[in-house]
Amino acid sequence: MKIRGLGGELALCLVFMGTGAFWVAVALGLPLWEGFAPATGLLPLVYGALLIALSASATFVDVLGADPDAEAKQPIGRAVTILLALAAGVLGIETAGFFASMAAAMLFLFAVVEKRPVLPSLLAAGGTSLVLTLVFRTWLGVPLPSGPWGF
Amino acid sequence: MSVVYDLAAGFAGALTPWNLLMCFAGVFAGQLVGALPGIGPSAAIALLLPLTFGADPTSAIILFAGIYYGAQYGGTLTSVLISVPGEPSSVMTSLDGYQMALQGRAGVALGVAAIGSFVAGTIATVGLMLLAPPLARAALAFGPPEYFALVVLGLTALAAVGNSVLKGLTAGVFGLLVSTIGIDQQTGVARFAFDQVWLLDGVGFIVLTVALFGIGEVLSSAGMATPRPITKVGRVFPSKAELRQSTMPVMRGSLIGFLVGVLPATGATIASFLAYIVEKKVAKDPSRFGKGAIEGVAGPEASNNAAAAGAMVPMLALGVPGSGTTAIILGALIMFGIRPGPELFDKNAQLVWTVIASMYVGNLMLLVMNLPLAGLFAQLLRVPYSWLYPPILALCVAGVYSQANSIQDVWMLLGFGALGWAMMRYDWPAAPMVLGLVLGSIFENALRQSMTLSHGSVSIFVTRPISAVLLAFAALAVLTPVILRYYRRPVA
Repeated sequence: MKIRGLGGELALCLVFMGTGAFWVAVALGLPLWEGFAPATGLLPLVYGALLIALSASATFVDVLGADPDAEAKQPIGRAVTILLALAAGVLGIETAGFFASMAAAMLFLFAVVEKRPVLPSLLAAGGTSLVLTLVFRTWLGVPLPSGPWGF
Repeated sequence: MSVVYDLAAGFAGALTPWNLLMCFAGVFAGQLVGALPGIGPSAAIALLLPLTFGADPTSAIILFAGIYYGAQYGGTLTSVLISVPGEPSSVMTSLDGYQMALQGRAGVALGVAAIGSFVAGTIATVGLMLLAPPLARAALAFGPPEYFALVVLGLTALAAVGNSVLKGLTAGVFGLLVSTIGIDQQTGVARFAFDQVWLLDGVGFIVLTVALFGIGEVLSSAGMATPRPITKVGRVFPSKAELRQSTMPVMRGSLIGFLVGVLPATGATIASFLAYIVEKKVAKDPSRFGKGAIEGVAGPEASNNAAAAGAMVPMLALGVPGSGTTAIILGALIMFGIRPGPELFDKNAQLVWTVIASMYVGNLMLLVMNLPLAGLFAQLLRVPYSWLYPPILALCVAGVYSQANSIQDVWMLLGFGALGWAMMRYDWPAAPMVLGLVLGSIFENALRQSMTLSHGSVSIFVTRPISAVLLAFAALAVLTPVILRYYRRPVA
């Protein structure tokens, strides 16, 4: 059985199995039955057990049983970089404000990840962030966080 | 006659300026996302959910429905012009559509697709109008055991749509599991909140949907969308001979599409495959197929549009979605405080009939937009995806933050977004997860009420005939793909 090339999907299955096991462990500490009907803990217990069983079955049938060379996957580096850039942007929202942090994250994605020219990237990032800020603050009345400079 | 009165009232609602605008916005956005690679109707609806929170539910559902069936039109553009189906349901269109484009007949392919889609969408909306109300009336006698069985059927049917039933079921159970986070509505006990106040309300439908279909789809598409050469559109209006050749394929495609769409666990993709196979079977010269046969475009295009309207039948009448996108529309209905299913036609008749009427209007708008503007929409394919996805990500963040002004929700968005990307990367369906979250509380309440009714006996689910039949269908939805897979396995 070939395992090479299946690491990512196996990890995904393990995430599901681990979550199921955690749910079972916590649910066992909750009341399971009350009168004629399930109490707070029964369904989480059942869901957790089902998740372990189903993800384990999927691992054996669909993951380990698949041909690892059947389809070439895109490298994960690009997606991880985009996710990290977005996470950095989110991290800055409460200190630098939505406009600045999202503009910075988008500028990084346009100019560094996608290697677009700097000036159009700057205009696109700043413009999009400004439009989103105005739409959500003015039109929808959402108090998006502001930075130290007031926007 | 009541159908006529209901439809008239529906048109009165659909033809108000605001609802007309929502309908136009929906079909236009659907056309765009159907054409643009890397974003589908599910993601588009997910992105717009936060903007419609607190809006009039009827207008919002008109918008979402417009995106859903509009995307079927848009998917045709990429299939014909660059041989890259914008939607899985347009795969069959690309076989002959792209060949027509290479022969300088791209415009005719798009024109026939637009006319076929309009005819099919209209026929299927008539079917929806005639079939859904009696189905809902028959289901009005449903009690808690039947609702329980309906949820089981909905989850299993949606899980069976993808390539692997096991993966679909795992995703559905994960959604149910996530639905247990927060305060138990019946007992008031906090579960899986880990003393965090922000978790007491549970994981929001918008957070999970935007994460899986917005962030997840962007991450999985960001490295893949490469520009392809686009063929010229040319003459769009088909000749009389071409229209004659397409008439029967469109009629057959409409019928196949509607019937397949109505069945849970099928959807537009299967409908278009079936329509293509049927056209090839009935053709006098099947060797023309794959080389630019106009019937190979007309049949599948009609069927995928009819299936989109057909899938609204079980969603509106029973609360059982037939596809991933209708699962999100179902979630949106629940978000607006409307219970989908048998009571919908009774308690929210105006909403349902306005949405149905808007589908007639939307199909007409799409026809008008597509015939003269096909060339203009084709230009959109030249926009590189690298300019599109950063603003989409920023919109996801702003939209999710706006729900509860909560930065914790945004962190959950990133976490579930990473999960959604991993699932798309390895071909795990995300829609059952959303449906699990949406139906989790209905499922739990129905189970508790049923067990109380039966004094703790699970036999109530199999002794009541409707519940037993629904559960049997659920078992069939799971077992059929497994059995088919076993018999298709190559002998060593």
